[in-house]
Amino acid sequence: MSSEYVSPRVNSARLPDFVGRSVRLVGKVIRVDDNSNEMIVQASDSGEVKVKLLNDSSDVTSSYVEIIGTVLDVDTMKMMACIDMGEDLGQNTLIFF
Amino acid sequence: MSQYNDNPYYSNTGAGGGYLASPVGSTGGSPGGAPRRTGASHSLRPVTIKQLIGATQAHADAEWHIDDMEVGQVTVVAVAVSINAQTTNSVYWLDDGTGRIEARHWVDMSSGEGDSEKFGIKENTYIRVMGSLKSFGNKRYINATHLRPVEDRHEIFFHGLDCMTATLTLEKGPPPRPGQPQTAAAAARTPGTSAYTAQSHGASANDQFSHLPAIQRNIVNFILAQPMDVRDNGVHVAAIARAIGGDAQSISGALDKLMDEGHVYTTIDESHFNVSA
Repeated sequence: MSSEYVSPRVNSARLPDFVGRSVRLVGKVIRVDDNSNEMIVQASDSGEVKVKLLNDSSDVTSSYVEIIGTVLDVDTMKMMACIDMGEDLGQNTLIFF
Repeated sequence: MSQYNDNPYYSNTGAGGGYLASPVGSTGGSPGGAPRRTGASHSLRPVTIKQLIGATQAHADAEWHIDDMEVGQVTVVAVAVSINAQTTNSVYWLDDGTGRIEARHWVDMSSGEGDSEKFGIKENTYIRVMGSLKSFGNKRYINATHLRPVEDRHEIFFHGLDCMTATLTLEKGPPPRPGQPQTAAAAARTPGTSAYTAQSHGASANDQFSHLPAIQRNIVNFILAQPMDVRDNGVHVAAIARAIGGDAQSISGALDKLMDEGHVYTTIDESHFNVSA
């Protein structure tokens, strides 16, 4: 019943293992493109991930975010939710599990 | 006297703590098969939602178990996906990435304000929830006693590591202290006993006195190894000297040091000693 809600926390290197599945990815917002409705997020392993936004960029309110979404391909995600992770997350100390 | 040294019934008496783990301290085992309350039911364990979903219960009123380990109170860190305030309680849908579970918090009717406002909790943010696992029909939920927002986002990652540490410590025992041989900590734990009581089992004598010089520590351990009735009268200095070896001068010097620091005291006369525990 609850297995459909499982979304493992990943970094960019783990994305290929999760294509088609739900994941959560914590990272730093590098840039937001309102025209294409996409943004680029840098994951903890410094890899950049393209994220297709849900509605528009108004969901993204902080420098660090956690994206919950489905993996479209090895470096693209489709956002389902975006969680504010503040302005000063210790980017290099994050451990993903 | 030395035949008592290997007697498991006396090895940890008076060592400070360890009362629950003591095999003779059977006062906790109530007769008539009534549910036995253990230390775990009063403890607070960090868990993931997946662990709560996987928790088992022998019957509807029994304690919950995670991997055969009894759990009392639990704490999770998860996103409040939705908050649903009702007249008597508020329902929080929690998602920490390992699964989803409901947390119910019963509203204090005397205070007029809404539940989530009181705690400052907003939807789609991480919160920490403390409470106990309950089931109602087929549904499982956390009966929440405390809820609060996660201010520092590092707490999310801390909690993940905290869950791992707690689970592994319960499974394998506490990690060895620096300088302590690996085997002591890796000793098998009986499922169902709390790690907190198991920890003091045997190891505490060394922990408490580990800062002492070897000869003083040996004296303390020797006295602690004696049966309770012998210790109450005190252990004679000659018996100590026989067991520890070395010259009388250094034994009496070490005993004087232990007395000065309050680790031992004299009992029936000046040559009988017991450990202050």
